[in-house]
Amino acid sequence: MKKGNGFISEEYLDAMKYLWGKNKDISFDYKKYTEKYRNLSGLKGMEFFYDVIAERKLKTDKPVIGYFCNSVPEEIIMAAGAVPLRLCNQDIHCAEAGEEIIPGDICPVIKAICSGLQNDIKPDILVIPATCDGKVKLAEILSSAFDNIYFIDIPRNSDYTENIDLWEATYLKFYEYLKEKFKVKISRKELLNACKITNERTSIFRKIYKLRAEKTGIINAFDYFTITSASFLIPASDWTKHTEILYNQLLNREIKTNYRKNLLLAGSPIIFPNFKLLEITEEAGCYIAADILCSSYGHLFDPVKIDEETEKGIIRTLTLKYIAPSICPCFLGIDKLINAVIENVEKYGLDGVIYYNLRLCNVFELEIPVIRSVLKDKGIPFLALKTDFSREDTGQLKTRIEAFMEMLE
Amino acid sequence: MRNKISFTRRLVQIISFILLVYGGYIFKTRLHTETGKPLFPALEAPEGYMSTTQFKKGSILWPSGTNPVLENYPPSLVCRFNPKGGLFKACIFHFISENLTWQTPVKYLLPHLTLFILLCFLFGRMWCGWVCPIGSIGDFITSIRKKMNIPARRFPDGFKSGLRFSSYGIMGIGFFISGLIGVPNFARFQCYWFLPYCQICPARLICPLFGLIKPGWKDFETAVTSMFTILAWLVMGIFLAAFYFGRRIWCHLCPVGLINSFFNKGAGIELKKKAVWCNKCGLCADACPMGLKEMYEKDSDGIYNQNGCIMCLRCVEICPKDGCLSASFFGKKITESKLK
Amino acid sequence: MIKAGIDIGSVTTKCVIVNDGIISGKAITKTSVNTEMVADNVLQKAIKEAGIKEEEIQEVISTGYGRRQFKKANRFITEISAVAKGGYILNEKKRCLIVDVGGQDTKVVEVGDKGEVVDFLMNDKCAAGTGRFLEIMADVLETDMDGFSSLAMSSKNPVKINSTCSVFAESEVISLITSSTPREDIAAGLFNSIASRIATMIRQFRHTDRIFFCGGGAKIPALKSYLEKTISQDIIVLPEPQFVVAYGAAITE
Repeated sequence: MKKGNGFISEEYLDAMKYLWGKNKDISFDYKKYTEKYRNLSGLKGMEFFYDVIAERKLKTDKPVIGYFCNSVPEEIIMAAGAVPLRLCNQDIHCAEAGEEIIPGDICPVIKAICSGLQNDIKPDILVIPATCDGKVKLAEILSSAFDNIYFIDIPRNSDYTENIDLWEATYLKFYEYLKEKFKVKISRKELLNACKITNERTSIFRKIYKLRAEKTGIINAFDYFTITSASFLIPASDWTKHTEILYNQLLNREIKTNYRKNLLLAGSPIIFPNFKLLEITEEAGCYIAADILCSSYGHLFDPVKIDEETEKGIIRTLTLKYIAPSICPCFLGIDKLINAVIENVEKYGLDGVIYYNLRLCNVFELEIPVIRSVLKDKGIPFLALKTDFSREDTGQLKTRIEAFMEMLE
Repeated sequence: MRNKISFTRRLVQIISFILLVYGGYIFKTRLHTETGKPLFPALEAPEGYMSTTQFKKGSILWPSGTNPVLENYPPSLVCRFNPKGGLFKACIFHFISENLTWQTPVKYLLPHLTLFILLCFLFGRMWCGWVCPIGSIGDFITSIRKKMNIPARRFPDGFKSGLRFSSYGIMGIGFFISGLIGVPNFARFQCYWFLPYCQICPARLICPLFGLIKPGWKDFETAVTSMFTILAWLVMGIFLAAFYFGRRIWCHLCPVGLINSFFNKGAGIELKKKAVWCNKCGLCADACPMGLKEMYEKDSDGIYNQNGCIMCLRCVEICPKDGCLSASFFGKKITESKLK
Repeated sequence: MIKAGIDIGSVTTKCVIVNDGIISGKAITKTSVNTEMVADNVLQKAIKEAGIKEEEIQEVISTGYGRRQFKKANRFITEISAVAKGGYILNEKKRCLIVDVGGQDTKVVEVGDKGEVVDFLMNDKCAAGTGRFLEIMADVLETDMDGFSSLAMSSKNPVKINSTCSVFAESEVISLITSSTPREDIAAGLFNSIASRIATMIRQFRHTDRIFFCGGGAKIPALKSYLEKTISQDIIVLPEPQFVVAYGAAITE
């Protein structure tokens, strides 16, 4: 993408640079926050993940490629010899600071990203997919702070039959771009290797996912979402290694639980500092037995299953991991979301569904009436919550979730 | 094992290839020559009619094999051009064409037809994907392409239904000519028009190759045989290109597969989908060697035995959702999709 | 068995004392900063009215926003369950929809055949569509609630108020006043806008044949009549609408 200097005023650039310069001061004291959750479970295997979150540093000498959303193929980045780093940010302080450069009535995730990245590492390349409108404009805004921004233009219809060739072309373009940028030759072997690494991650994630759903109280929501948030920040192989250790500890864990109901969490992503909703659900005695959020399920659940081990074949299959099964509301295809909800509820015998809608993210909100009516037909209790990172509506949310729990009992 | 189903399928393909193509060498001496005649008596050509054994050596229709051990007709082919391939004589298209010309009474055909229908009823078009030696050769060509890092060419749905339509045409013309030359008035055409489809079938050029005998590759004796030879080479070209670029696109054209496909719906082997568990990733449609999309498109539980389906079970194997797709045999689950 | 139900709402705190399912005493007062003290006061008032001693009360159940602040309470339940229980008993134990317009929020609760909550909706954290909105607007029109209500009832030609946000609606109302629109029409327009907001919530439910109305908002005749007009259906106001939640809490088993 072209650098935006030509049309962005000096004043705006200065504001941007100022914000990005001081981003360390505006963000949370992560250490303090991790302590709060760390002590709740006292799981030994969790230490590593809380440390990752608290430090937020990527120890690597390889080039780092930052990206947002779930539609950027990590495997291609890894095959190119770089480290993928997902930069989605849900820090309330960042969101408030972001209002200095963009209007307040914007999705808080976009605002938070605008005001600087959580990590101390500045990525070599920033990859922004055209998932939602906010991300599209974000690419333009961030171009004043970044030299290398790559914009992936994804068609919004996630129907395989209609758009598979377009996706393939889009990913191929990205693949060629990375090859040229890093002046590397990527062979099939490297792509296959990268796929193997992410597939291993997927298989251990599925194990944890299944265990969590089948044994009430085996892992609390804070721990679980810390693991998934940590997967953004560390290389996939490290994550797999430590999750496996954790999984083995969980298998031998004695559960004493005072959870009252098992619920499915759907809707907007939940990433580390934004654990407000989880605090409320845990307090109300509701166990998040399964979730289909893009920050955990969407990010880690789908594998790359390669049909043809040709270069193009692998890249084509990658689109079938990242775009086709995506339950992001930005895409056309609500049936996938509904399938996922019903599947999880039926498979694990869950009691109800909580749909978490990040305020000002309209696409999520637009889905609510459809899901509500479908689930009503199926007789599955459903609660939609609209909130953002701020804590002023904690009381209201509490009432709703507690009333929902009373309704289930 | 990473790809359990694919591995099993390869194994079955190799074993059946050896059995079908070289089975004669293995079993002939023991079963055929000792008794002096086949285990099950073959249909003999009626007096005065063109038979499979009446051709000169080197002629286009000279059958390269001897009398088979088991004269039966499993739905897939073992063709008349199969050298010493005496274990089965199997191609249903050959069987029907031949007997249309001979005007054999139905009661003689009944045992063979019953066997064919029974096998079809059990396995549907599974023969195409698991047994057919021509398909096995095609799969081998496809694997060469994969090694060469050349992506598969994908064809639009219209093209595929066009091929199926052509397949009906080939079947119709083939049976019509065979029937026509059986009528006494047209009997003089038998000499050159006998088994018209077999004369252009790619198996005519391929099968003798594996027996290291001289096939009828350049039979330009008369205008008609020249035409058939040229057509055969043309079809051969299409065949190779189809398998090289388009995975199993050829199988949409094959009339033997077409006849088998009539039995796909209601066959003992069933592909099932649990619609709610589907995440619509499209892998099943993408990996399908026949390029079928129904499994992806439809949103209902049930049986997905499509007409084109060759029951290779690749979709079941590649589906990343545990238990979403499954294959069962008369309601008993054989295999289901798994992550690994 | 004597039980007390205390509903600590955002505007008023209500208390009902129930003796074997029959109301023997009730009291209401404004909620202030010290929630616990207010709740205690209102409990004492109700005890006085019932003519019993505090020791005789076997269980105190608190509900509403301040429910967790009241330390005397033996149990807490949410106002949604409480309103469902109260409404269900008050309407002869039949399936119904209960609309509760309170000070800070509006709730619509679907109650099933057995008195269970089938589904519920609450308005968002903003004040539009709540009693608070009406109070602010009454202030802007320089009248009290009764006057506001009767103003609205007398209108023939309600204006259209576009804003649903109370802050923006206020400025819209002021601009309407300066353009010398009759106060009646403005008041009617405001009631229309709030009624349509509640009506959209009601429309999301499937069984809407029996609708009951409670909470502080049910005491405003204009709100009831405009809501009836908007959803073109009769609404029944429960007796003592403000006490339904506290009553429901008191009869919780």
